[in-house]
Amino acid sequence: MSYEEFNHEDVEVLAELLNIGFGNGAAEVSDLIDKMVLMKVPEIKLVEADSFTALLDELLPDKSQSQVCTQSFVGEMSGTALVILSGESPRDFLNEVIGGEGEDEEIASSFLQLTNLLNSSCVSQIADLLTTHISFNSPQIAFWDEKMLSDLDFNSEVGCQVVMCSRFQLEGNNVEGLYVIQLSKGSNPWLKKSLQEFLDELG
Amino acid sequence: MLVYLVDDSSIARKMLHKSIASFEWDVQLFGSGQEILDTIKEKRPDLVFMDLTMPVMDGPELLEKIKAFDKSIPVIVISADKQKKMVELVKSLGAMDLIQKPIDKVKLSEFLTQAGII
Repeated sequence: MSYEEFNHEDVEVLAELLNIGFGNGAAEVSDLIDKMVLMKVPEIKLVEADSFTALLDELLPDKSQSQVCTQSFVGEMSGTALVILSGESPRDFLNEVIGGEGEDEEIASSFLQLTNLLNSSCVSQIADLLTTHISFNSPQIAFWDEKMLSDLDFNSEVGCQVVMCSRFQLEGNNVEGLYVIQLSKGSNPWLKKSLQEFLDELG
Repeated sequence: MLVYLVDDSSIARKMLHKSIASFEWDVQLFGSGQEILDTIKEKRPDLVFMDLTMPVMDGPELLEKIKAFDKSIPVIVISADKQKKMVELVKSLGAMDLIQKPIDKVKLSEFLTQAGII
């Protein structure tokens, strides 16, 4: 399946599904820290599978201090969700959660919790809206480095990949991040069919 | 009843339009805040449905501008963003309420009945 098979309407549906899903996730995070999560307009990218890391480069020009938490999911809709926090954001996020400084282990724990909250709300809601079910694997944290990129290396795959992105920021502090859902190219036939059914329902 | 609906996503506009189709209102659809503001100045609607997360002019800014033009225009925010603080913010800016996407037709109908709109 090639790029051309996802048309403008498909992309619009995906953007709205991400908007709904991320809104759900943002509300969960907001409840946890009692601060507003400022959501940006979602973006949908259609890229060749071996260009995924290049897309991340484009989305995050300054990522030297970034950390990423990845969580894969399987089902008819399969792929990987990434929460990328820049600079001191993981530490600042923990400060919001516990109201003070914490140890490295606690920083990692709160980052994992953030990822779990976003994914269980957002990816699950998107799956629900497309009337399917997914299962999650355990989330993993990595620094932005060659090893992390090689773990995300999809060079062996050929074909179009759907990537859904939403930037976010916490109100009144420095926590900034990027939420990315990378759908595996193997999901494309199912996704195309599901999007068509979604559109048909709208009439 | 003249109803304006603004959302930058054409799919979201279709979804909401379908949810309110049974009311047989005269519904006009807009893709940006500026478009709806220009039209409101020409013809006052009886009700506005608006999204929050939009490029160029976001929901809170649009809501402020609508209310600054005519405070009496009823506005209902339809958004994926259901954070309590966002609900408080839009209500403080004069919205009747924030209804979460995807729209539950029964809940929307109950809300419109309670609000005296239908």
